[in-house]
Amino acid sequence: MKDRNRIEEEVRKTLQSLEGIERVSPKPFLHTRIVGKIQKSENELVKISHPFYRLTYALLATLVVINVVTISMNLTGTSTVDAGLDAEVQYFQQYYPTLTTIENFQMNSPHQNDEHE
Amino acid sequence: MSESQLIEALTQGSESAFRTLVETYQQRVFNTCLGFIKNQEDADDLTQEVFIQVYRSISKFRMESSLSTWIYRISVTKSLELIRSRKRHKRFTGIANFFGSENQIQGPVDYDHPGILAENKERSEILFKAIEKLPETQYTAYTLHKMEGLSYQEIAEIMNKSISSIESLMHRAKHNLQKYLYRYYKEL
Repeated sequence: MKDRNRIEEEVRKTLQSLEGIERVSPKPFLHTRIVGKIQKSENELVKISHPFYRLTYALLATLVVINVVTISMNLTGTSTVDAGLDAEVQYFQQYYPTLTTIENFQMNSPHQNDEHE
Repeated sequence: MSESQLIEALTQGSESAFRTLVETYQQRVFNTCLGFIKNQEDADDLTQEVFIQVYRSISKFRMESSLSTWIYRISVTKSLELIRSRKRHKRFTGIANFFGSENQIQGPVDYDHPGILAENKERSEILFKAIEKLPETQYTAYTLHKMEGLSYQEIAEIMNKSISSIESLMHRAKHNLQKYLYRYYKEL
């Protein structure tokens, strides 16, 4: 469409197309359906709060806690071992300043020198 | 039964009061949801959700606004939540399609509103597509005014804004719609 006046007329008519809109009714028995839904959700709530479900959720929560504790303990244990190794390496480096790797350690080891002698 | 008596009875869990509430407001709630959602089945489900929320939270209603405003506010909030979740789903589906998944959601394309006069049907479909492109606040104000026939005062109360803000929102909404429609008809 190229004619400016015609386009503006179409725009105006389209903007007015909602005028005279009529209200639409919902499906019948809305109240009954709503009450049915409320009762259904309340029954589900009662079901969830039943002792059996409570016990299941408690057991699941316990399992999760045990898992988390075990994993965190393992992680802490690993870091303690790493810290111990670092301390040992530092201790050896005091006596063997040239020591930087395991190979160097083996090459500089006094026992190894004894064997060569 | 006055509004305060109805609220009092609802707070006490009266079943007949709840029936009265549903019967009084069902058309307003349904038409508001339909104006936003543009699908009768979804609007019906949403209407039920609105009344369930009203039933559950009536004890929290402080009477700072009218019951009607509060119910409209719940209807608008729930409608916008559904639209946002649909948009998120659409974006996710778009990404999934890009990676080869074939799931597609069907949006309310070419929606035929049952309350629109027959001679306006075709034009209103074009207008609905344009309205959907508006920013959320303009979309809300325009929909409540044009579809639900609410005054600026009522919209201001529902949206918790001043009347001048609503006037400004409506002005910008109309301007944006004119721009969009002008482009649309020019390309025909």
